[in-house]
Amino acid sequence: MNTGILKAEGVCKSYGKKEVLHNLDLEIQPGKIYGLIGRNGAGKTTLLGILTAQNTMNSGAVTYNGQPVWENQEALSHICFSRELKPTLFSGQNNLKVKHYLKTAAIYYPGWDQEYAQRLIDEFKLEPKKKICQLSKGQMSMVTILIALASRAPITILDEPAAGLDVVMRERFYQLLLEDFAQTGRTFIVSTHIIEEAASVFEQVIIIDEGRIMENAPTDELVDQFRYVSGREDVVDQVCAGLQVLSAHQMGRHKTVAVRGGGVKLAAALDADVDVSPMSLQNVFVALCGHGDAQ
Amino acid sequence: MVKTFRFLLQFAWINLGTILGFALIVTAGAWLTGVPQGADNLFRTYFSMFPLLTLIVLFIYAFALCTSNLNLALSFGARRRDFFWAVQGILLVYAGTAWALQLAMSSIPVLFHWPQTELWLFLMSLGGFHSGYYPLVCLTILALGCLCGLVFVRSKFWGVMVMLVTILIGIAATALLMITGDFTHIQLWNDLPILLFLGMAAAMALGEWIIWRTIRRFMVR
Repeated sequence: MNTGILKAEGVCKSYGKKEVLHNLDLEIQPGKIYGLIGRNGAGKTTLLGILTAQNTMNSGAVTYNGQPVWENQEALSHICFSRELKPTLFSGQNNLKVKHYLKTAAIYYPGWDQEYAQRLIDEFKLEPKKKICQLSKGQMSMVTILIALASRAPITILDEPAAGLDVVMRERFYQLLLEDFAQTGRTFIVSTHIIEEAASVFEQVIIIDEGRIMENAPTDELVDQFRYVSGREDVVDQVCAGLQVLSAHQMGRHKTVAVRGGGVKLAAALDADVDVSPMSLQNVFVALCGHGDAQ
Repeated sequence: MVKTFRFLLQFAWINLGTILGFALIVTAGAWLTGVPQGADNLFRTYFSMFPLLTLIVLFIYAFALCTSNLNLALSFGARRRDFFWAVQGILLVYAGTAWALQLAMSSIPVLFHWPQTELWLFLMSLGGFHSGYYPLVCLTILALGCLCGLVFVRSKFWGVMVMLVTILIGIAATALLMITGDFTHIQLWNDLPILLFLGMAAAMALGEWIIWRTIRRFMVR
């Protein structure tokens, strides 16, 4: 699939006096599945809105293949940002029907695959004549996923696609995503809070915290830099001296710390009387963005 | 622009169908209840004042056009300037339909030789396609309805304020149509018609300018 590079440079965004994104740089390479994770209010949806010209910015630039995305029909037709549907709109209930959303998607996305959309409607057992306000949270997510997948847009962005889906549907979603990716090789950016389940799907993970990109690295490489070291307090302190300690939990004289990097020093810890265990992406995220709230 | 026009048209054609159906019911009701022969009932009022009723309907249509559609269109990748121009296209379609309806309905008493011409004097006085006042009033009300919808989604207070202003302009519009109608023959108005005409045009231009600014800065939520 002909996809380009989506790039944000020096993006700043404020809502009133509150600065939400601080001088943010990001490059989305083609042909990858990105996971965008961050805490509530970290700026994920704002960032995605700015990348797709749905939101304004105070300063900075967003380009697709070197061309500004803002008011650029060529760039916008290559990008699909499938947002969470809401049961209420500005003027009251969302009385639009599922079929209106699908028809609108067919109008705007040049690569819209009607046959695939129909297959997904049948599989998800969605009723096109039903109003959005009458759908369950899970069904709204299904519509979001359906639009994203059937759009066939070279850059497809999903915001909280798994929200409200049961575990079976979430598994099916990841399966559909991977099948589509294998088939088309298009770029996906998936923003989610359900990190553990989605971690195996993400080729690259972007962690955003308080309006700044904290990490943007291949998932395996990132996770591999982190370890839990646990054991007797004095031994753990001795082993971890000089390492970047992200969090620590203590129970009596037993201490567990989350550390980053270490290389030779961490390898040496394996000989000491401590347990060294790998961390999951979710643990890494908590260690990096927890700010002590998780303790 | 074409994509966004198609997007808006999928909702607009239902509205157009509704107003055409309403015109049909009013005309048929007037005919069946003996309005041509002088019966004075609700259908007579609706028939003779149909152009004014249409203005209220147009306001509601324009309001609905600009509340959630902008959010939806932009979330599917529409450009802001395309949305603005597509809205203008839809407003023209609405105004054109209202104008054509006014012409069609004012032709009915003539075509079917309905007596009692004084009963639908207002309808007959708007001048069909020969007078530009009615379409100007339609476009002004449509622009203000659209502005009201756009403002309302951001602030209910300011939305209501725009609505109040629209009501005042609606009263001025009615006055303009009344005093420029053929039936008055009153020469007491001096420059009032031209002042109302200019005021109407200025309200439309100002409305359009604010619509453009609002769309330009809009953020999808």
